[in-house]
Parts: sequence; structure tokens; C-alpha cells
Amino acid sequence: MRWAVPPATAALFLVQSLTAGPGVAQELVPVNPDSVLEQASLSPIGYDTSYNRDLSTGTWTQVLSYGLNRGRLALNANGSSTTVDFPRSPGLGGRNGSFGGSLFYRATGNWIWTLNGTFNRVVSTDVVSETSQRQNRLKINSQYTLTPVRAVSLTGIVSSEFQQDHGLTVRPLGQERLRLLTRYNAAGDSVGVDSIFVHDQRDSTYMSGRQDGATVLVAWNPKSWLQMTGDASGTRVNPVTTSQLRDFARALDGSAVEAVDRSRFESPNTSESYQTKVTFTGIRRMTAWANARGLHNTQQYFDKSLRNQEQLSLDQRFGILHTEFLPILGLQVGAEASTSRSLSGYALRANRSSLVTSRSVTTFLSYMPSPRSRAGVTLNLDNQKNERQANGNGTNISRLLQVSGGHRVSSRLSLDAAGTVSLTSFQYVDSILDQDNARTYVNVGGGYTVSDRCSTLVHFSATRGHTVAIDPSRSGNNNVQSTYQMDAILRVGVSRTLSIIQNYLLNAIYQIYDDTQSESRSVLSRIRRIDTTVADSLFTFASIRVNHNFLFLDSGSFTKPPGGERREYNVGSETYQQTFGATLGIQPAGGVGLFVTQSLANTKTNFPSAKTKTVDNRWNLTFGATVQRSLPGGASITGSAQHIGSYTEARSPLLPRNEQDDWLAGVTFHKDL
Amino acid sequence: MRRGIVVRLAVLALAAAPGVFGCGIFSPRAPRPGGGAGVVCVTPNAPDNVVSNVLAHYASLQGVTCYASMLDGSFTFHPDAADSIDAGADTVYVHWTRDIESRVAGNLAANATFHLVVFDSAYANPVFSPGPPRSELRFYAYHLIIHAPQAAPDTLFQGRANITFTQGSDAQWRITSWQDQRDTSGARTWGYLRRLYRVGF
Repeated sequence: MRWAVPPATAALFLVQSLTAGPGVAQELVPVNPDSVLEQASLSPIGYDTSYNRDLSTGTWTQVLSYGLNRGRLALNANGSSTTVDFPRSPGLGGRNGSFGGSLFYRATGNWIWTLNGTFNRVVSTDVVSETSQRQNRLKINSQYTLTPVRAVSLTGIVSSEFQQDHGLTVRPLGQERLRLLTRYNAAGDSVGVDSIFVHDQRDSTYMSGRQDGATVLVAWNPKSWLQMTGDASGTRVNPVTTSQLRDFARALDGSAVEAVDRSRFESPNTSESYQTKVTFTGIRRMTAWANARGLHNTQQYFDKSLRNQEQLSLDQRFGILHTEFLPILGLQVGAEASTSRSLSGYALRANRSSLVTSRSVTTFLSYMPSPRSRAGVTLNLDNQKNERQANGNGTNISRLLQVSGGHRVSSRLSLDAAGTVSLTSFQYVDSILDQDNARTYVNVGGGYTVSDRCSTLVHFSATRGHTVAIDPSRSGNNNVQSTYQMDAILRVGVSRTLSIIQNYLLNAIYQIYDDTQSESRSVLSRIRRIDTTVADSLFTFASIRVNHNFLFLDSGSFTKPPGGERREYNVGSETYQQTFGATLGIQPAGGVGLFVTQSLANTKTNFPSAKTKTVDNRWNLTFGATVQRSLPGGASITGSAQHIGSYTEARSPLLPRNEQDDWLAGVTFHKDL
Repeated sequence: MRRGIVVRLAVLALAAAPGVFGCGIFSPRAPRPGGGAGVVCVTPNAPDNVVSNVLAHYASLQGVTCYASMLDGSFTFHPDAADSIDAGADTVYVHWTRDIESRVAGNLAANATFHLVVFDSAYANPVFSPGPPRSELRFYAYHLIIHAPQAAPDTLFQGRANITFTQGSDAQWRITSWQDQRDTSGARTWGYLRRLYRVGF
């Protein structure tokens, strides 16, 4: 029997998945207590700090970790803190911090206890508002594995988790909102209604609860050619949430008013999942397997935007059947069919509820008689249906056929080709958005290698895309876009240190509208592009690289003249775009690099019909340093810092120079303690 | 034996190919008759043309295709951090790609009875990268007025958009990244509006 992940890992992963909300499960990293107990602890304490600043954000991260292994016991702990700010948006930023720890104890060979705790806080702030969330989790886990009969392995896991969530939101509303407040007398009877105008809100929520879970995994190998696995798990939690929602408002007479709504409610959440897989290898050269999964989950959470308790229920089922056959060496044929159903229901945001059912079939054939030749065909058919939604109900059909092949004619010459045909069809209940997209693509080419240092690749391709909106209100934009392209790469190693790389591209894009009324909007764009890089290692400690990028683009109408039969091209604009740059790199010491780059980007645009011309020159100077060094005492530093300065030559004093003066940096310091 | 199987499979594939294409499974449907000349979608030869198309066609039923064609295949949308925290257990913002953005824009367009998109100003100088590929990061303050049942009672959406435009190998410019941020007004953001229309995908 083979598992994609070890059973213990899978079990823990499942339990953690069910603990988290939907969609979060994929991001969780499974923990395997067996492997942790076997790991040797090299350095008990490690500290990392890093600062990264790019053009719009600055991020400072610190991580402190601790690990200890003693026989049957393993302990891991780590804490991290991250601060983010936005240099171009003063006042806007965020912080998050987390502390986590794990304690593993192997009571006997088959019995393991685990204690996991995570405590984290996320804060986002701007000048006027703040949103924060604190989440505490403490979980105890017990796992036992046994083999009751031959060829059967059984693992059971039980767990209990204590949960706490604190949420705080302070926000101005931007525009005042009318709220009607009912007044009550001492007897509790309503005696009138007050109108207030709410301008700010402050919400505080606190949730606590305990989640219990159980998981059973079974693996059974009755025959060498038949393997069966299955698992089932379930969790239950009944958290209690208390909230204080404050509205800061203005009364009709202008006086300040504060309205507080306090509430307390229970929100039972449950989750059950199962999975089973059967693998059959009883027929020679054939493998077949079937897999079925199911998940039923109900959960409640406080929706901060709507200031109310949301209840979400999920019901998901998934089945897949896969078979592949190797009739002869190098030839493989196969098929895979899958079906799934996902029903999600939201009590508060009812317009997010949906039922999605999908069916998919894939067949494939691949042939590789030798390392010199290959060929393959894949046909994929998908059908997805959306129902019970507020909008977007309908069917999405996707069909894709892919063909590819390649052959190495000689040690120098190789040829290859690929092609695809596809259709994506959106068929909505509200048919106004109905649309079909058809696309074909063919690419043929080859490569010629003279030596390791000298080679060339050339490919020709043609693409045709047809966008068809079905509804008359949108069909006026239906068009066929045809692209013809030639790509080539030339690599020449002139000497041991000097190399030249050139990329060539020729491209023509025709966009022809279906409707004769839209004929005047049909366009043609053409491109010629040559990118050249020359690099030379002058000495062992210095290198120089020169780049030149040339692009010519013209575009304009491609229409039939009145009474004419053939379309004519009328150039509307011509653009010449060139960039010339040079980079010098020096390595003055081991692990330390310095570099400086200067470039000029020139853009020249002609408009022949208006007989006007624009020219833009943008200068850029970048310099910086990189470092990657080990320091005494088990420390290391890795990073880079650079300054980017650039400006556009102003065509007139009134136009902006768009000056740039930025420092970018990324530095990480690591220390084993 | 081996050559025979290969020849037979090749013949089978060739015989099946006309059937696959003959069934018309890759043929688009014909549009229903009627309709007008459509809308003007400017060829995105420059970032300004992309902005022009976004302003003209976002939330417009006739302009959905044009807006979607302004998005690069690598497009990603990043909501404001506070919007993301507010979403809580709802993972609505996860993996927001071009396909998601196109479908959200389509749903919004089908639902909106009135729409207006305005980039009020650039709150910081743009950042140019000489590339290749050339790219340009622009910092816009925006506001939208949307009348749509699914967005009610909110009609004003306001904030900041940090948009990266990148020139592709076909020399046309498209949007590769869109970072949404709240401003100091307290109004709902564009990211919040988008969130409302991601349903079932």
C-alpha cells in the first residue's frame, strides 16, 4: 500500500483542516509527530530578522525559534512579528504577531500525545480606523496505531481544542447613516422612535469554545494487486460569542449620542468528512484507482462588515476514476473521469449561496519510443453548472484538445510542433452574459545547436481567437483576433568570457469584427522586436553587461474602403521604443557584490494622419550592493540594497518629469544561539 | 507487434479526428440576430489606453469583454488588509485571478443599473521599470458610484488603487496587479464591492 502522505500525517492534517475554516485547509502544513521525535536538535535557539522595502511597502519580520529533543519528548516553540507600512500612504499599515508551540510525547511505540498552541494577532490601521483580531488556540491530541489483523492497519486520533477569538473594529462610515432608535419606558413598552445619524462605529466581539474531534484511518491490503484505504473524521464545537456594537451618532438637535447593542449567542459548529480510495493493479501494465471524498461542515462566525452572526453550511462530494494502460514500451493511454458537487449556504449573505456541480473527462495518449522522439494527445471535456445563486446561474462548458510532438533529427537539429483547439462556453440562465470563446493555436519550429556555446531556436506560430457574445446587446463587439508570430533566439559564445544573446520577434495581430456595422473598428497591429544582451567577465572580480532592446510597433485601422472588397491598412500610429543600458558588477570581497546600471529608455511615437510626433527620454541610474556572508558565532547575513533614480526629460516645463528617488532593500540576519 | 499497434492507434486517431471536429464540439454558437455596433475598445498600446478602457467599461454590460481583455494572464487582485480581516472565515479573496476578476465584473455589470468609475487623482508619482518587460506602477485615488441591488444600500465606493501595467511580448499593455487600499473617508472600497459578486467560483 502506498500513501501520498504517511497515515499519521494525513490524520493530523485532517483534524487541523476541520478546525480551520473552509479554504484555509490547503494552506496548513501537516505535522508528523513521528518525524519530529526522530530529528536531532542541532541548535536549540535561532533568531532571524529581515527587512524588505520595495516601491510601495516596507516589511520588517522577526522570528525566534526554539527546539529540544529528549528521548520520548520533543518540544518546539516559535514566535514571529511582522510590521508592514506603506511609504506612499502615510498612516496606513499593519502588524501581525504569532506565538506557537508544540510538545510531542511518545508514551509507547504506538501511542503519541501532542500538545499544540498558537496565539496570534493581526492588526490593520489607517489614519482613521483600526481593525484587529486576536486568535488563541490550544489543542491536545492523542494518536494510537494498531494492526488488529494481518494486512490491516488502524489508526485512531482524538483531540480537544480550546479556542478564543477577540475582534475589535473602529471605523468611520464616511457618510452619515440614519438609524431609528426605539425608546422604551420603565415598563419596557415602546413609547416612541428617535432618529440618529451614525458617523462612527466601534465593534468588540469575544468568542470562546472547545472543539472536540475524532479521526479513524484504515488501510487494508487484501492482495498484492488490491489496496484500500479510508478515513473518517468529525469535529464539534459550541462556542459562545459576546459582542458590544457601539454607534457614535448625532441626534436631530446636534447633540452627540452613543448607542450600544450588547448580545450573547451560541453557535454550534460541526464538521464531518470521509475519504476512501481503492487501487487495482491486477491486470498487467494497467493501473486503476477510484477515490471518493465528502465533507459536511456548518460553522458560524461574526461578519464584521454586516455586524451580525453569519452561518455557513458546506456540503461537498467528490469522486474520481482513473485508469492508465501501457500496451507497449513508450506508449501510454489513459482516461480520468471526475464528478463533484458543492453546496454552500450563507444565512446572512444569502446572495453568496450556491450549488456547483461539475463533471470532467480527460483522455490522453503519449508515445515516447526513444529519448529522441515524443508525441502526445490530450482531450479534456469539462462541464460546470452553477445553481441557486443570486446571479451567474448557468453552465460553463470547456473543451480542449492538445497535440504535441518532437523529434531530434540529429545531434544538432531538433524539430517540434504543438497545437491546441479549445472552446469555452458560458451559458447563463440570464442569457445576457452568454458568450463563447473559441481558440486555435499552432506552433512549429526547431533548434540547431552548433556547440554548447552556440545555438539557435526558431518557431512560427498562428493563433486564432473568436469571441462570440450571444445576446444582441453585446454581440456588436464579436470579433476574430488572428496572430501570426515568429520567435527566434540566437546564442553565441564568442570567447570563454564574452557571450551574445539575441531574441527576435515578428508579430502581426488582426482584429476583425464580425458585424459589418463594426467594420470601421477592425484594426491591425504589427511588431518587430530585437533584444540583445552582450555580457563579458572582464576579470574574476568584475563583469559588464550591455543591453539593447528595440521595439517597433505600428497600429491602425484595417478596413474595407467604401465599395472596396479588400481591407486596407491605414497606419494610425508608429512607435519606436528603445532601451540601452549597461551594468557593471564588481565583487570586492567574498560574498559581497557591488553593481551600477545606467539606462536610457527612448520612446518615439508618430501619428501620420495628424502629422504629429512625441519623443520621451527617460534616464535611469541604479546602484546597489548584495551581500551573502557567514559571520562569527553562527550568524549569517543575506541581503541587497539599491537606489533607483530616474526621470523623464520634460518636453515642456508644464509636463511632469516623473522623478523617482527610491531605496529598495532586503536584508536578513540569522543567528543561532 | 509493436509497430502494428502504433499504426493501428494512429489510424484510429486519424479516423476519430474528423468525427471530433465534425461534431462541432469546438464551434462557437451563432449570436442571436439584432444588436448594434458595440462599444469602442481602444487598442492598449499605452497604459493610458488601458485606463481609458477601464473607466469606460467597468460595470458596463457591453464593455465586459473589453474590460476583461485589459487584464493580463498573470493578473492578481489584493484587497485592503482590513477588508481581508473583516472577511474573517470567509475566504472570498483567496486566489483572485484574471478569470475570477472577469466573472466578478460580468456579474456586477449584469446587476448594476447605474455605474460611474472615476480616478480622481494620482496620489503619488508613478514608478517606471525599464524592463524588459517594461512596467509602470500607478497610484490612483478612485471613487465609484454603483446602483445595484446586490450592493445596496451602499452606492459609493472609494479608496486607493495601486495598479501595475506591464507591456507583454505583443507590445500591448495590460494590468498585472491591482492593490486596493482604504482611504480616510471610511467609505466601502472597490475590493468590498468586488467581494459581493464572487459567488460559486
